[in-house]
Amino acid sequence: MKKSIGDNIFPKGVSFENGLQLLKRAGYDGVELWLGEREWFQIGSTDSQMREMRQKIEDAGLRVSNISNSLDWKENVSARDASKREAAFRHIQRQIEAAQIFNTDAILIVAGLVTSDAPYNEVYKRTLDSLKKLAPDAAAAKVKIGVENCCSEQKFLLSPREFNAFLSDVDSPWVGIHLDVGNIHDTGFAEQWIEILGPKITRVHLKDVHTHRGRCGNQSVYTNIFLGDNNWRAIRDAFTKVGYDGWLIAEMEAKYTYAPDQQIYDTAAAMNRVISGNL
Amino acid sequence: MQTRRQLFEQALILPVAAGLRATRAQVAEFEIISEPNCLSQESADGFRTLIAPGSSNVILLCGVSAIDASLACRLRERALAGTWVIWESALIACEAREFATQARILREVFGVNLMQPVALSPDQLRTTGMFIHYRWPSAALTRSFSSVIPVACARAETIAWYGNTPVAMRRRFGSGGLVFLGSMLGPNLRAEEREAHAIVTRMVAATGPSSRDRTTSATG
Repeated sequence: MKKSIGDNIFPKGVSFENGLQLLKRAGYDGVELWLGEREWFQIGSTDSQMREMRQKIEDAGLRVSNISNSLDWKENVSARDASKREAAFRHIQRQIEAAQIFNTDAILIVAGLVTSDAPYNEVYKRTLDSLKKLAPDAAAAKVKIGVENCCSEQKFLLSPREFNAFLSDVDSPWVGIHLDVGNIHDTGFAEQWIEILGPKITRVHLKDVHTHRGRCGNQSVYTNIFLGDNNWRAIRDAFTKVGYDGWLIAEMEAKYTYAPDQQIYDTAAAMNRVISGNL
Repeated sequence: MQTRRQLFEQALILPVAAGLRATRAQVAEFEIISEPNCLSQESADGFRTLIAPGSSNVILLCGVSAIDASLACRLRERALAGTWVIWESALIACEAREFATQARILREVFGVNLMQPVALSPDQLRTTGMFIHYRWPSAALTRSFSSVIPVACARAETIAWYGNTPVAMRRRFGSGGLVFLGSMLGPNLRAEEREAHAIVTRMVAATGPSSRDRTTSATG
C-alpha cells in the first residue's frame, strides 16, 4: 500500500513546491490533487501548467495518487439546473484529462446530492444517467471514476448494499467507489463497506470519526487517525481480506492551531501503523 | 412441479437419508447433512449456493451439533473409501453436555480433539480481529461467527486460525479425509461473502478425485 495526502492540507502560505517537499520529508509516496481547491490547480489551469506541476511532483520524488475535486458540491451531476449539471460534466471530464496528464488512473467525484427539494428517487435516476454517460469517457481514457461515499453530507447511497447495487446499475468497470472510511458515521461500519464493495474500490480516504456525537452546527465529527471510533484493526484486516493493496489517502481537516505541518507528519506515522498492521 | 434444482438437490440428499448406503461409484456429487434447526438450515442454504455439477465425493455436514456415533462411524468408512467429509460444527450454540458428547464422538471416531468453544467478545473482536485466517486451500480471511471452537492438532493439519488459535483442520483417512470447521462458513456463504465462496469452492475442488494427488502432496 502507498501513502498519499491531499494538497489541500498544505499549511496556509506554503507554496506548491514547498508543500510537496514537506510531504516527501514526512514519508508520503504521493499527493492527491484537488481541482478547484488551491490556486495552483483550478478549472482554468492549462495542460502546460499541469505538465509543469507534474514535473514539480516528480522532482519532489512523489507521484499523483488521484485527482479529486471540490466543485461537485456546487455543480453536481444530479442538479435539476441543466447548466449546473453541464458544469459538473465539464469539470469531471477535465479531471479525467488531468488524470492522464498526471499519469494516474483514478479520479474522485461526489455524485448525487439529496436535499429537501431534490428528492431521492429523482437524484438516483439523474446520477445514474450521468455516470452511464461519463463511463465511456473514463473507459477511453483508462481512468476510473471513484464515486465517494459522503453519506451524511449527501443523504445519498447510505448503505454498502445500496452503493453496491447503484454501481451494478451503472454497470461499468470504470466506475467504482472511492471509499472514505471516516464518512460512515453512525450508519454502519467501515470494514463492512470494504468487504461488500471490495473489488469496486478505486481508492481509499483515511480519517477517523467520532460516532454517537452527530454533527452540531460547525462542530466536526472528523478527527485524526486513531483518535476516533473507527475499528482500525478490522479496517486493516478487511483490506487484506478483499485484496486491496492500492493507495491510502489521508483526508484530514486541518486541526492543528500551532505547527500545522506537524499534522502531516503525525498522519504519516499513523498511516504507517495502519499499513504495517501494527495496531 | 419440482424445479430442476429441487430434483437435483433431492438426489444429493437421498443417499445420506438412506443410511449412507450409496457406494463411492454412485455418489457423483456432494451430499448435504443438516439438522432441523435454523442455524443448520441457514448453513445448508449457504452451502447449497455452491452445488454444481462436477463437485464430487464430498459430504457436507452443515452446522451440525448432534451427530450420533453410528453416523460418525459410517462417515469414517466413507472417508476411508475416498470421500471427503467437511464437518462444520455448530457446537458454539449448544449445551455443555451436548458439546461433551460431540467432542467425544469426534475424538473416538476421527481422533480429533476439540477444546471448549470461545465466545468472541466485542473486546476480543477489536483486539484479535473479526476474521478467521485460512491458509488452505488458499490464503483468505473470512468473517468469524460469534464463537470459535479451537482444535488441538498438528500445525501441518491446521487450515485456519483465529488469532493464534487453530480453529479448522484437515486429516486424511484412507483415500479420503475429514475437514473440521470450528468456525461456521455456511452462513457466510448465504451472506454472499466472496472469500467464503472462494474458500469452500476450492476446498471442494481440492478434495475431489481429480485433485486427489495434489491434495495428498499438500497434506504432506
